[in-house]
Amino acid sequence: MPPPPSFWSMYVFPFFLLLDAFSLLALLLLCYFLYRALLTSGIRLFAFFFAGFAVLAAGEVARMIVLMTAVLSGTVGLRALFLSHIAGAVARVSETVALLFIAAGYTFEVGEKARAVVLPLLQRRRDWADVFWLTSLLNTVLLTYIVINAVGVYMSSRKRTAALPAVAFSCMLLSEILLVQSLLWVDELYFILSKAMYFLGLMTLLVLAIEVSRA
Amino acid sequence: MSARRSRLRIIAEILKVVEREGEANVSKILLEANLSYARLAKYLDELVGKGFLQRVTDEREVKFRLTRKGQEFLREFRRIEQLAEAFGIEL
Repeated sequence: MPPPPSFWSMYVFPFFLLLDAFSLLALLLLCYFLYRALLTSGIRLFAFFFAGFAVLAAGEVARMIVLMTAVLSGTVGLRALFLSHIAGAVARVSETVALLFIAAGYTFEVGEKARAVVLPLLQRRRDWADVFWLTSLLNTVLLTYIVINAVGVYMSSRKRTAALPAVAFSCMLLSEILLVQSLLWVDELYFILSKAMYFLGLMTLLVLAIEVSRA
Repeated sequence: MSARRSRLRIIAEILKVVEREGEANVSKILLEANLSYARLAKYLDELVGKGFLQRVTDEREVKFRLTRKGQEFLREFRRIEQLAEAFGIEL
């Protein structure tokens, strides 16, 4: 007789899958509006933001696949969830690529300085042996840069719409820092907090997408 | 000094004037869109050609009315405006 389903496989994993599904919805909605904006206006900066959020969405799908695999293979426990997240190398790499696009978008908006900021980071990608640490470092640097720009955009316009990306990217930055903490100290609580912050960030983007759809 | 308006913004501003007025004549649009007569005439021809505006002629003057396509374009523009504002993109 097969063992009864555990608390993890019955509640925790499906809950995380649900969070990922909501995150994916937020990203896809935003991608849709950015794509339409790109088609209508022909402004290339929209292409950077579109590409960034599209790759983030692809990463989210990869994360969901890894999580689903963990659920279906019967791997249980918070540690398994923690490991499945880290093992999602595709998701991690795609997140870095996505953030590069978004950072480039902000850079081109401010001025033609992308080479100075983005290329040195790209040139460091030789060591793929430790994808996690490399992506964590890159993501933290990129998110810090993106947050500074997003806050700058908000400070110059002081409009609620501009505050939403600033909040979203700040949450993502905090999530990244918490994720690094959780790995350094092998602390699952930090991992859960990191996941919650990331989700909060994406939900802020969902609010933005809804506001745009209602405009 | 304000930045130069993009073509997209100029078109949206013309359509906004017509939307606000219901029906607007050239003088009204000229005043509110802040364009020269020659440039406005070109834009109006283009907008009528694309089906965003409808030319309504009565005995005294020519007026312009927003079409359904024009309304849809304005709605799309407002979405773009919000996204541009959110990410600090100049339209």
